[in-house]
Amino acid sequence: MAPASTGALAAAAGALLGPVYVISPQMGNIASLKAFAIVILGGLGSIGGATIGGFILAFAEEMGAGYVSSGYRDAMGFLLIIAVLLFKPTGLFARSERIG
Amino acid sequence: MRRLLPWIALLALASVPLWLKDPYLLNAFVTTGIFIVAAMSLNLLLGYTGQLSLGHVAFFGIGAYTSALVSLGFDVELVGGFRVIHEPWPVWLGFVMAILVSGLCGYLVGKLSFRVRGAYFVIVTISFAEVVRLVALNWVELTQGPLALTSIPPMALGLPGLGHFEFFSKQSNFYLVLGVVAFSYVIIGRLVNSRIGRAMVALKENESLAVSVGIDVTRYLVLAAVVSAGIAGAAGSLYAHYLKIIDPDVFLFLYTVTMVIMVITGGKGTLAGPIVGGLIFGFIPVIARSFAAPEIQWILYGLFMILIVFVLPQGIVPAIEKWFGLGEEPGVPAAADATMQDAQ
Repeated sequence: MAPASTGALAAAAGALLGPVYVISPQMGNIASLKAFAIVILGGLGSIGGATIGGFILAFAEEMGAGYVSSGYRDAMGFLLIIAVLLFKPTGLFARSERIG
Repeated sequence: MRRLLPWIALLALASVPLWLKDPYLLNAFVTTGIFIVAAMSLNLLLGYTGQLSLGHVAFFGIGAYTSALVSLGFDVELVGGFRVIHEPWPVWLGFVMAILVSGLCGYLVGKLSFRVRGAYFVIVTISFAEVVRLVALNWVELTQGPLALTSIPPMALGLPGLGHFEFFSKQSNFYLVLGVVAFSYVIIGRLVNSRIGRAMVALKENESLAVSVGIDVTRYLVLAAVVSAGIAGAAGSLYAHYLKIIDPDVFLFLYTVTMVIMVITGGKGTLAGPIVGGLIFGFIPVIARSFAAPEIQWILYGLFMILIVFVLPQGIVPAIEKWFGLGEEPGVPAAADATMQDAQ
């Protein structure tokens, strides 16, 4: 059940991305990396965290692209992830849990 | 017998250029050897400390770019009109600088990220590799971006009184890479069979127990990361001076995956594992190319990989050791016990 529903959700995201971006066999690579990053950012096991994490990541990337350099668009997101993990290793909105 | 095996393998490999004259196959040996060095460095982290670095190609690429830039020279204007001009240095210094700079990056990444481990370490290394790739792609003034750094000089060694030797031919590069493989094998072997190596294995097996007997977790993990990154940097430097051209594609995720495949199939946590896995997976595409179409070639690669992981989940080297009962490798629990006793 869990793999089926994650697959369905990912397919819905892909269907929404299709009309906005170009479609290619490799389009999933960066998307899955970012999805992983957002989950870490928001906190593993937190649905609200993943939603807000997605907004934060997208906002950071677009601001970075607009004010620093569009070449570093993806780099902004990754730098943000590194920074969040340094200061709050469990993610921003995780319920308190032991990691490691 | 067991002690002799590495020497026999070394002699067998050293004889290759004597009977193999085909330049394409020699080239395959050299590039495979370079990736074996990188895989050995990954094995130190993945096999002995249990930390998966999915951004290992970053250290490889940093080594390649450092070595190339040090030996080519550069002229960069930083923020605020501050200008850095670097005159070309001898190539062997570039090799040394590649190891030092990569090791330093390994230190920083390790120091920053070993407060978090497991999945978090994986994501930090991936992010780091991606940031470095984007810098290499966008800092055109320094790295030429997608235009690539070209006409990198071949590796050269100048000894006072003995003249100057350039590793230009495929044969000389083969022996250079073989030398680096042997040297890395010895260094990693010395490290993992020492007290430090036993502490690393103990951390992998049972971290809370290791901590309770007084092993400083972060210190040993950072040490492993530094050595591993330095060796990966050496591999990157060899790569740059052998191909004589590098572009931001050296940071492709695919190369990390190749290293992981070599380590896992060969047997992680064994010294010979990455070498065996590397030789097999370096040569499958080359051999398959002679009789299969390009698409089939990679399907064969994938099938063979799945087969090995399915049949020999421990990897090839541990399976062979088991079949032939080649001397008892100090088992993992035994090594952990020894560390516990050391610490007490």
